[in-house]
Amino acid sequence: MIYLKKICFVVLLIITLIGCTEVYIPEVNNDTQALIVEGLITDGAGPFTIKLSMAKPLSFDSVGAAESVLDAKLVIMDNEDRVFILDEAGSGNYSTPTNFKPQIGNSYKLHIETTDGSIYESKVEKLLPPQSLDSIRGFYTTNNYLNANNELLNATGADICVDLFKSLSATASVPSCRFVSNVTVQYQYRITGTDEFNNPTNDWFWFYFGWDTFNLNGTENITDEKVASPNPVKQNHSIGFMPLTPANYGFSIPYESLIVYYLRVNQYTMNSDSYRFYKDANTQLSANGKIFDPIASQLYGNMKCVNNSSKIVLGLFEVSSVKLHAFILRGSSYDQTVSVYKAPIVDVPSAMFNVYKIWAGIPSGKPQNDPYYTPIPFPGWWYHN
Amino acid sequence: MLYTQPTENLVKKHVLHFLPILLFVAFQCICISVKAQQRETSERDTTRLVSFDILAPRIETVHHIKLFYKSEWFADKRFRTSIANLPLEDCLEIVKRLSELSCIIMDANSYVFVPVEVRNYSNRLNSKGVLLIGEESDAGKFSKATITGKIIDFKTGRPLHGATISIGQLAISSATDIKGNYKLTIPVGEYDLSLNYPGFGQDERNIRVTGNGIVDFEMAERTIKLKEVLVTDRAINLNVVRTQMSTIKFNTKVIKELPMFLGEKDIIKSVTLLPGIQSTGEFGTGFFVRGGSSDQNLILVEDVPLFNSSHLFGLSSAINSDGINSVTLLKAGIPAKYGERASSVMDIRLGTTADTLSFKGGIGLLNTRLNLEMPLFNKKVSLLIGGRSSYSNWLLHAMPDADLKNSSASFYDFNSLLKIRFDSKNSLALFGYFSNDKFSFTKNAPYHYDNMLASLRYSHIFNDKLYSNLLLGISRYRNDISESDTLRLNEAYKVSSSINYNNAKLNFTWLPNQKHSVEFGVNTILYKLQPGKLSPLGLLSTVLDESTQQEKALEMAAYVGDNYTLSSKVSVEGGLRFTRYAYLGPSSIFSFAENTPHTSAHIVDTLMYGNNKIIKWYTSLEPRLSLRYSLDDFSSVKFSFNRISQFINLISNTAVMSPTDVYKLSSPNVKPLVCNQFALGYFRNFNKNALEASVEIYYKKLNNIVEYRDGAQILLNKSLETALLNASGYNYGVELYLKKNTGRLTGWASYTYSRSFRHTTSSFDEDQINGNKYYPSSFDKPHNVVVNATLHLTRRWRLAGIFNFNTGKPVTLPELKYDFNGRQYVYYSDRNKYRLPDYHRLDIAITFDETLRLRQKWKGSWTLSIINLYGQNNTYSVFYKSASQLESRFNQSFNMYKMFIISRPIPTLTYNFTF
Repeated sequence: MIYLKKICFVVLLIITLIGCTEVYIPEVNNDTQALIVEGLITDGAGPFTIKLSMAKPLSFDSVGAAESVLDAKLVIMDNEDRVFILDEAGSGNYSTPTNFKPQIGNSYKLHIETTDGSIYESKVEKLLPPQSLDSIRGFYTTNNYLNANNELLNATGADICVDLFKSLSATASVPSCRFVSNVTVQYQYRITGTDEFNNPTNDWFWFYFGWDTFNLNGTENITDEKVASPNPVKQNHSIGFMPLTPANYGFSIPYESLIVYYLRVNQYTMNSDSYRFYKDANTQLSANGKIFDPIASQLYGNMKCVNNSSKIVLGLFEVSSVKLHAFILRGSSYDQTVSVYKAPIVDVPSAMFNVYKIWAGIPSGKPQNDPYYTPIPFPGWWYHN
Repeated sequence: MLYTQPTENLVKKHVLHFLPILLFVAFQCICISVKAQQRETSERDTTRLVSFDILAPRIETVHHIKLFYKSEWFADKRFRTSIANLPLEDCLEIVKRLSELSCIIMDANSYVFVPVEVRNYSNRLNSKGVLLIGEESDAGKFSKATITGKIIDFKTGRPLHGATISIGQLAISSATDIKGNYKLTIPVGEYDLSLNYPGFGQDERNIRVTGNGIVDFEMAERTIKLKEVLVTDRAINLNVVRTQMSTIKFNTKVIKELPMFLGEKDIIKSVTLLPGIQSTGEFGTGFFVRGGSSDQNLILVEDVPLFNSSHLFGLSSAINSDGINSVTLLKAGIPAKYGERASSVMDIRLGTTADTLSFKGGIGLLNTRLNLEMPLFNKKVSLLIGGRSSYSNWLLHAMPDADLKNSSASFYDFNSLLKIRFDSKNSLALFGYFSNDKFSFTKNAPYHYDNMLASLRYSHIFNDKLYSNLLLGISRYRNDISESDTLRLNEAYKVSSSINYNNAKLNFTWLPNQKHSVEFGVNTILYKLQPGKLSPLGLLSTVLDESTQQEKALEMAAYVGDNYTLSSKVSVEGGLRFTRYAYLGPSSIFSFAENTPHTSAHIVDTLMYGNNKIIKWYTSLEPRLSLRYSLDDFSSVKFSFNRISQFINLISNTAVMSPTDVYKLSSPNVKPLVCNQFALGYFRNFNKNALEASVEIYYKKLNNIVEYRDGAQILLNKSLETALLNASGYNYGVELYLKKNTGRLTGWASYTYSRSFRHTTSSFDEDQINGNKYYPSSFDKPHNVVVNATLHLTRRWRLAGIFNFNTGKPVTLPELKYDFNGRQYVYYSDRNKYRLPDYHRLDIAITFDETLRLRQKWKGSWTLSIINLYGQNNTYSVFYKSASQLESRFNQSFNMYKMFIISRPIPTLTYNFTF
């Protein structure tokens, strides 16, 4: 019987080999200071705002309270030796003058002088011709993700893809584009009406509209440098995943009679400095602490302090051309398709979701077009402007 | 009272005896009945007292062994029959104690009882077991005495011709003649006498000589356990008397007793427990020796270098430890026959020890392994074949990490060694190794890498003074990453890189006399590297082929070294290695504008070279020197110096070696790394070599270290040289080491204080790191404490533990944060300005070893180990990241995080077997 020991088996007591993470607050030097330049000029309508602020120590809870840099002198110069002086608009924001209209092919340089006498200058940045997406489509799909409690969840929605550069010649160099995609989710609340004695009644309802706007990308969405064919055409470049379930946006809507997904896409065509900056930015943003993540990557922009090399300046003075696009998206779980409709470009009023869950206004009438049955849907907030 | 032993001893005894039963009960109930039956038998016989003639057959039956003895030696002895049912070790121990006899293990199933006092015509043992030679009454009468006698084979009685009898304290020895006779004339006194005969091992006797005497010694052939005795091929005080310093040798015994990591013996993780050697952490490939990066270690398997020494991101070593015969690691004073890498040489030798066909294997947490050893043609041919295959996916899927949940990982490896002995002077060894790793974080983006090694070694003995080895070897390492998104099949691609290493080496060993041991030879290496190649994946892919420039180089070396024993106190090993390195075409070489930084913006020309065109020569003359001065038989002082040039670098900007890292050869714009190392050590043994102690200090100067710019892109970078920076640095440290070789408690304790610094020297801001100030390298961990202890509870039970403490490694941390475009970014500190929290961990293992009975073909051992016993959260890395990917789009939440790989105790149970 002792030979039963010879039976080869193994029992694995291990159940819990666990790699995990926890928040870490290191003790680091709080004396370091850095000027942050956040500026973008385009061939679109101005004026443009350049924001100056100071970086905060890592231990600060919020970056929202960044210290603004006031009383600085900002000047933009172009390659035709024109000089544009920016006006201080408060809170560290500086606006370009009304006569400042960037021209495709021209180059621009930002000059900053702060109250401590430091002078910062950008590189000379060229404004390239704008590119426009050739087509857009949505793929009905499901994405997995972990929530803050490390629970594996999934979200059903649309992987939104665009085709690019079909109009370019085969020998043309591949432009670099950046997409800023915001989805505005508008929803309709049905509130039970009240009778003459102020008691709830199902005879009639009040309809209210609420919305919030979200950026679709966790990192900067830029085209990559891969060449996929002899010509510069890029197919199905993903500009983001858009959930088609309100719950994935944090909404808890009791009655979903009307939900509109309004997608606005700003397509910037960047020069090489801007592209390099955003590529490096993504390296930082996408670092997830995985074992093969690159070691910490510093993010330098195109600004430099010209009279004191020890001064640190971060951020970017970006000079890019822009094309604006807007779409309404509708997903069907039945046939697992996503319909994309071109829509007018409108400036969506800002909405603080947490405060205005129900928009205070009452629709003045029935929507002129029902988004479920018409190719060009009807943004509900048009009533309320 | 039935029981008179202290309770704790009883508990210990019972636990030890029945722990295997408990384990089996937990896993297989049938074993209960097995043990129950045994227990019933024992209880029936408990009270019977019998002669040894009755007991012996019972022992033979129960344990499947054969006992040899003379009945008269047991004439008046009586034994309980229950003794026979005890574990064999315990049984024999009791018989020995009650009979006052000694027991010699002839082989695994033959045991011979002999009187402790062998034939000693004129003398006897005193109460302390010291053999008395001469009459006590003669004490003080003579200053010298002559001892004569024979050394004979205990089993056959034949004289042993050529056996040596020596006394270490007197540095005197004598060999027996053809009739086995010996003669020694020595001063009277008390000595440790050693008997040696090939195949019979070494016997130690304590003698006290007061006058002339005749003593015959018997030696018994030992055919069991040779592969597992602590020392079989080295003198017990070799650490003191050898010229070489900073050398670590692992034999199978030491490897076997180390606690297992996830149920696997691991040679790489084992060496990182030694002073001056540090690991990358729980994850990560390779190890760091005295502040050098992992690519500065030359890992040779049967003389061929292994480029990626790990499976599963470093969770397991690439070499199956079952086939390993020995591992030697040289940290300093590296002999001239070794070159190529700057920091260390790890020489791994496979080997067969089995006399018959045998299998060895194990079933562990991550993989199953099997090893076959097969002697053929009357032992003129021996074959070793081993392999492993993993089943590790379940482990990854158990992790609470989105990437790891969706990931998969698997590996297999295969190794073989065929040795053919044509005659007494000619032999051939063929070695082959292949490993394959696949893993993916998502289904659409798998990684893959493989190692392939092969060598042919022909050995020839010209005469008893001149030997030679001719080696032809190849090593190939390939890795690739592919990505195939179902929505973008036209963009599906595969990026691959590879390195091909071919070498020929002719080595001679010349022993002109007893004082010189000369090694000389030549070594030629041809490197061929493909740093990166992009190719389409699938028929629908329209990705264009693209590749970075291939690299080719030839490294040629000639060397000579002599280990010269000047006297019993002084020995020196001097050597010289002359290396010529040629960087070959086809290649295009960037030219940079004079007095400008080496960035892509300053490339002014590109020079094209044809195939095999010599583009750049580098020459290196590398002196090697090791000195040993013995203060006495138990202590020595050693000094060493070596210079080594390294012409191949691993380019990595990740926290650990990743499959996307590439190798880069020295070229006109990337100079070879040069390392000069000085080391000084004091070595001292205590208590008759039972304790080894050493103190070593070292200083290393490194020139032309390859560093990288912030955020450097490594993969598919056609101008990779512009992403690299030239740096220099120095490392220094002190290593304290105490090792206990014998007794129930064995192991070692070490403390290492080491520093490692780097700096750039360019006058251009773009080519500087931290403004050219010295900064700690990633391998700078000043304090390291290791305690590794094994307590042999009984012959088969042993308890082992390892405690490891390290200062946290340097890291670059964010100091500032700021908003830009609605996203949060950080500004990082100077490189490696901060440190991770200190690291410490305790692992333990209890092992129930296999039986030594030869007739029992199947032998198994169990090991229960617990990694990270007290659940220390050791920080593997820190990083700055947003919240989960989807949530971060809507509600940005950034933070510093620290990551732990093993954050709680991990118990594992492993079964290893041979048959």
